[in-house]
Amino acid sequence: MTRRDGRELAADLAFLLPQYILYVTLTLLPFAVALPIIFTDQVDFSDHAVSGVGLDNILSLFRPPLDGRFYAALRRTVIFTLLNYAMVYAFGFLLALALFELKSRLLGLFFTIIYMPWMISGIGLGLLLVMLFSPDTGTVNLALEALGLGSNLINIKQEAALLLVLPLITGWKAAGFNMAIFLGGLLAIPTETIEAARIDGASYLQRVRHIYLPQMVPALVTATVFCLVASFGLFDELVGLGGLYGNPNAEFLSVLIYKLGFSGGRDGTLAQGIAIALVVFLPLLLAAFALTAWQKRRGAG
Amino acid sequence: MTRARLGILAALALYCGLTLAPFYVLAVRAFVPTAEATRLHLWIPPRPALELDLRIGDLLSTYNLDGREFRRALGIRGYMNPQATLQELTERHAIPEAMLRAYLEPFTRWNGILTVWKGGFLSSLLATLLVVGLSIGLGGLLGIATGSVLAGFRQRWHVWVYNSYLLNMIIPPLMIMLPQYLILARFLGLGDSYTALVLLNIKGTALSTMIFTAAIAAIPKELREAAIIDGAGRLAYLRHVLLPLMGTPFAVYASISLPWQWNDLIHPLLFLSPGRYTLPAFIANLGGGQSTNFEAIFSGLLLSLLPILLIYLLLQRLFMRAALAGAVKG
Repeated sequence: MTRRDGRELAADLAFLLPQYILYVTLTLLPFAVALPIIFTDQVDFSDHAVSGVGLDNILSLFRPPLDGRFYAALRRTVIFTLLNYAMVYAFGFLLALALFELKSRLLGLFFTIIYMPWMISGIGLGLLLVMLFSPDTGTVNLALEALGLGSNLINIKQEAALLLVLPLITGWKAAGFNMAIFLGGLLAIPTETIEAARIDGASYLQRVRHIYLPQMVPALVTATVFCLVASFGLFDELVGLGGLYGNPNAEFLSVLIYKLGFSGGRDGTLAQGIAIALVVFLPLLLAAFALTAWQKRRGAG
Repeated sequence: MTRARLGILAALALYCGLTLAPFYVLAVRAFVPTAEATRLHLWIPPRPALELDLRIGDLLSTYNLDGREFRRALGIRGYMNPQATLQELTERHAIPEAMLRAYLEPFTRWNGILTVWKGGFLSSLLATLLVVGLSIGLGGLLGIATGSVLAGFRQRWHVWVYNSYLLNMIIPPLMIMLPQYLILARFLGLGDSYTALVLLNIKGTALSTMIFTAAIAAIPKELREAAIIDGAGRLAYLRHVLLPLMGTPFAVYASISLPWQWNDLIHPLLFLSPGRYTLPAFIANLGGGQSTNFEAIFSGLLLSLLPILLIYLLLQRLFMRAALAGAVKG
């Protein structure tokens, strides 16, 4: 190593380490600490009589008494994730296309309003659901009843209604965020390309299919990764809905992890909580890597 | 204007109306007494007149009143029987009924808001402002420092550092939360402190690393080389060349971090004692448990939303500039 290389390395480290030390201490190290617990019977962090149990924690998810709860939480999480992903397009994508075509001075106003719900906290969103769709006190239910359509039509205490309304309201919250991602992608398309297609007589749908979409792949990947991570990790909203007490239908995977892992042995063990966290973590890891690898190959080819 | 554009305009206007509707309902429900919650209210309902056969004890607990303050304001001396009704109170202590009503009116009208306010809303708002303000400022600086090294991947190990930051995206927060708590509280002695929250916010994320690395890599090489030939050290280069160019990426970073850090629920719940909660934990304390005081819950939600909506509307240009820069890409 020459003297110049040495000085360069020292400068690199001086700028990198302040944040990287924090990152290692607060993300990588905790992850490394948590990972081996999955092979033990550790109840909580003050439990010192720990012994190895092999793969029992993972297997216990598929055996009584836990299997029913695990499958139910998994089912709710997967259905929610799929519907929530559909909402990325139903809200964000369509709104981005609309704003892109609008070319009006109202764009700023629309953008500001559509983005606004993104400021609501997760717990706030859960409480908004309670406010709108609770049986007996929800404003929407009361309004439907006043219109003579029947009482308590949408009861968020029921699983089917919850799985329908929850993606709608999370989609509404994220509409502006997703719209911004897509709009950024659309605005990066050279105007000449769009003009050329227009002159060639391409219809609007053909333009979306052959000009917009291929250019928007990076935006699509970003929106997909954000949506996947947020859907699987959905937690605050469920706390607002009473997922920790009272509403068993709001027990998604994240709530189950919390209940098992932090109950100090009453409901389950820390090790079981971490085992479920890994079941969540692995598919996400694979999906994210597959997506980024695919995008890189596409960019290179 | 063509028919297609009119259609788009109408659809967008309709969607914006629907978007504002829940905010409106919230603003109404924050003032609907809990006893009225089973009836439909599209406007703030008038308060029912105060019944004078209400017992004093019930009055104090329903409206969260301080007994001593109540006696002082109405000039009541001697023993006040909590079992007595308001009627008996006015007779025994010669208080004009109008005076009693005038004194109690604000407490009944603003019951939800006052309950939340007395519950410590202001201190939790200030705590949130402190934590988020420090986090975004420091996090931006650290992110720029990280990006200034990683941009362009001059060394092979730079790629590894970058990829390890990306790992952050897929580590479930719930899984590492307890070890994080142990490290911060037991080993660094930062239990029940806002410093712990700030450290968690500025520790570097996949997003901040991606944003700043990509932005700095896009700066023309000549600029950097010119600065180095000038003999500018790294620090001078960072301060005089990089920082002035970081406006847009910082706007992207700040506009994405603001709602996330402001609305973080689980870390304050785990790290802080209830008296020091930031806003989302404060709201969870009001409404996430078994409490069914809807008026207080929705008042709390409304009050906690107002500051961030205000910040958002003030910085609305920044949000739009960030979004339209298209800088958030994989």
